[in-house]
Amino acid sequence: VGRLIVFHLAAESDDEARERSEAMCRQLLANPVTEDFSVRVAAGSAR
Amino acid sequence: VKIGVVTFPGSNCDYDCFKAVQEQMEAEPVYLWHGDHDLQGVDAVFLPGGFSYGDYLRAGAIAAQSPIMREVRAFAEAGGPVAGICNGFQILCEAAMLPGALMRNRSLKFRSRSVHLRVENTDTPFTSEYSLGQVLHVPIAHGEGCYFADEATLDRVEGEGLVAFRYSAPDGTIDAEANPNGSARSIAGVVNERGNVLGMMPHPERAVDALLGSTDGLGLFRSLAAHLARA
Repeated sequence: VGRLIVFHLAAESDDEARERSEAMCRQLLANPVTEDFSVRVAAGSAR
Repeated sequence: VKIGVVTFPGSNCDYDCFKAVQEQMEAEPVYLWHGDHDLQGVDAVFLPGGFSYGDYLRAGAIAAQSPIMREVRAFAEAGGPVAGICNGFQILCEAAMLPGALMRNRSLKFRSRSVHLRVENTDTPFTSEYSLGQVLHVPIAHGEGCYFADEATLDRVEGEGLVAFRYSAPDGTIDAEANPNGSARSIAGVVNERGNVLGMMPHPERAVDALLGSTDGLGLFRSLAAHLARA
């Protein structure tokens, strides 16, 4: 793994969290020319 | 003729670009601010070198998302000339306005020195005053200048004549020894399919006066001036 990014976000469901995280990867967090990415979603505590 | 030079937080070659435009193009340079949505009616845009937004995440990645880049993208899509130098090249790749990406130099070291470039395409708004195969002496200063794209993209870029400059020996020979950063196929600069967007790692704006050690960068500014005079 070249880079590990951990962040918290508020979402209604795992699916929504995954979808938004993947969109972030496509748009900014990963460069598709040089990087692949995978997203792992885990429930956290609401703050 | 009005030429925009974008200043991002962390740009450090914007003034060099501004001076080169002012003195070599007989044009009016204006600074464009990264947070603005206004290109001030310019006829061409330079994205200068530096470390925009600290180059956090990846070189040029944050700048590619900045407000001014939305306008620069629309300007380029309408055919306006845009040149990205060093960090500007990284920004254009991150914005997917040019093919490929710039990775860490193969040596893993920052390289700051003069290199030789062979002109590969003179049919662009930025290179028309050069001759094909001409060898230029221009400085580089970067840590992430290793041009990368997959083989199919490289074949397309070469096949369509999108390579503008390659690193070469002083006599124009292309070999690994003359390649300062491990760039695929020694590519130092590319243009988009339409030819109106150029990205290059070397610094032509630092080679516009004999006092700077070379005047070989002048051709780029004069080419753009000639292009705009024709338009």
